[in-house]
Amino acid sequence: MTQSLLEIRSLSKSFPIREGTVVRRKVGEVVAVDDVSFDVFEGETLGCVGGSGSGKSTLGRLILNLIPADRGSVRLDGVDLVGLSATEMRRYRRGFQIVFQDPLHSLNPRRTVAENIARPLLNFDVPREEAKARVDELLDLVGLNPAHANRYPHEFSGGQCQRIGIARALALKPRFLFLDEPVSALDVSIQAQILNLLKDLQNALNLTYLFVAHDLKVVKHFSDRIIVLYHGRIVEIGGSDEVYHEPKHPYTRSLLDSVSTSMATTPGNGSRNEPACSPMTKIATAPCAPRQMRAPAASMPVPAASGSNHARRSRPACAKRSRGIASRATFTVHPTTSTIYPDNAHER
Amino acid sequence: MTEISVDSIQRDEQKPELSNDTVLSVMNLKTYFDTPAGVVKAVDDVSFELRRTDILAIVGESGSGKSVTAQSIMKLVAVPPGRHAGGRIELDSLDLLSLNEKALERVRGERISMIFQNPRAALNPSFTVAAQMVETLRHHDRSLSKGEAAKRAVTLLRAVDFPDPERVAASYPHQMSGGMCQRVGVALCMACEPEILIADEPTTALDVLVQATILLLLKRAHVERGLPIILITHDFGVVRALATRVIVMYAGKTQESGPVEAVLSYPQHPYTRALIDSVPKPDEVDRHLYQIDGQPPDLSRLPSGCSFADRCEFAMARCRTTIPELHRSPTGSTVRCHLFDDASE
Repeated sequence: MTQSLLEIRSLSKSFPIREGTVVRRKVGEVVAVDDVSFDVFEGETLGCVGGSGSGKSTLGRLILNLIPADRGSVRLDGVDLVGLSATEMRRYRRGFQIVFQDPLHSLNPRRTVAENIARPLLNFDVPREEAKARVDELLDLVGLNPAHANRYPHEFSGGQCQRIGIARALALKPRFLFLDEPVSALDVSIQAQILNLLKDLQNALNLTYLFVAHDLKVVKHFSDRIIVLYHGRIVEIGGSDEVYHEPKHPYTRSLLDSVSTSMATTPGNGSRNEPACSPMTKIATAPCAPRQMRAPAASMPVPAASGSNHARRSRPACAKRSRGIASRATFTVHPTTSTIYPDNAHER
Repeated sequence: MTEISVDSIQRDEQKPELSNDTVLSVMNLKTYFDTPAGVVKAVDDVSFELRRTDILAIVGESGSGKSVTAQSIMKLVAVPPGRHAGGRIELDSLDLLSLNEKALERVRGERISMIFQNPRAALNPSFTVAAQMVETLRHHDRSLSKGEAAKRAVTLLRAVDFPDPERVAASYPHQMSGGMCQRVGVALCMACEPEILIADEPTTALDVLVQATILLLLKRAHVERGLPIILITHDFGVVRALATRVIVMYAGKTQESGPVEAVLSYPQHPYTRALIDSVPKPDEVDRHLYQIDGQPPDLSRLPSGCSFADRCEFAMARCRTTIPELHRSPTGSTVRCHLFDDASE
């Protein structure tokens, strides 16, 4: 049985909306992440999808403690990372790294590739000689020529820059990587190279990934489990096959319908005779994620704890299902039940 | 005139329809950029015809020349460093590339309009939507009064499914989401009832759900107004959902073109095939994706043979020495590949 690496409980974050030029009065708030609980298992890839503004990136940044959470906890080996001071957090930083969306702009343009990659090492007082050797090793690991270590980022293509970003994230031998849309800015052929590289690295180094992307096909392909965020809440969580093929929540379904057109790239995928546009007409009226101005708690359904097989597989948060279930407090028991996932593949 | 022979096969195939149906024909278009590193051949001998019933998709990776092709049609390429190095673009026998700026004004927006990739950047941040639409409408029709133009703007906004067009008209671009900005972009494009619409990656910057609403608007414009569309994209999903014909570009050249069905379901060119294979399939169990190794070539230092040869698993000796010609494939598409040399002889 796989072990939990991270236990995330009731994590919440909202950002104030301020008005006025001199006195910045708080006039409201945007709830970016709202009472989110789940576990991240050792060695898994947890995919995270949702529309823009659904809180995907904020969630990742909260877990890495890059922004302070309002409430909730992120537990690593029994230690709550939320509320740790910067000095205390430094001890854990090595184990948590991030790969950013924009490969070029996440590198320092005035430093060479070697300096960029060595930065986290020097930051953690690794001796220069050792750091230099490690940089060569890392470049080799991500498939770049160590002889190019003294070039500057602008001399590389987007895909190569993303490899450099990955090398930098791996410098301190982390256990957990937050991949914040790492392939969204890349071309299809390069995207496949980077995804394969990340998979190989995960197998070789026993890494745990939280993978954010807006392309559902990519997330489905790359992840073991998927969480679906809407308005900062988890509306569905489950094995990637189940979420993709048997979505329970209407929002997940509408996301999938919007890509169902893109799925049809495989030869012999059926749907030949349908009018080209038909899958899209369904979602013309589907809810798109608007800026959430304090979604009223009562109207927002949460994943239902029905205790049935169904709930163990994939838990939707849908009004239909949660009717009659008293409160959303039931959700806190869920993250543990999701441990069932790796075994239940045979149930279907 | 010697250049025309290169595309003779495609030309022959399309000649019969030229008389009745073709609204725009691009012949042997070449757009080069003079850079310190050398001449970048962004578009190198591209030919196609847009028919009245077409949604023509131009697909390719970044740097394949798809956007420059679109910009060349509208004559939006900055000169210098850009340069028109050959070929013709004809809109109903009007030679677009020979027109001066003043004559082009009557084409841009009125006869051919364009939707851009970044919807927010395409709008002026300091003016309301209404102000920008009124300006466009009155620029093209001087007889229109301000009041009439404002009314027409609201009608246009309603046509792109805004439930409250008056409110949108009074908004500034920063008050709207990316999807709303793009819908305003579509409304602006329809303002002068153009004959052709060019959509340059209209949904790339948008959320999947919003993407679908924009694609639906384009589809509707095509069906209801009979508007032919040139759709520039890198997303095969969008091509499959919308287009009727497709052109696959690589390193400034057309590699494969034909009906969507033929090209996407039975890709003939090794590049098209590899590109489609490297898109993750939801039903695939194997976690390892098919990948095309290497990088697209540097356009200022193109190899002497086929530009895809270095990354191609079927590459032969002649692929590295001679640029392949366009050939008809058994599926009805046109392919630029030496693998089809024998078939056509």
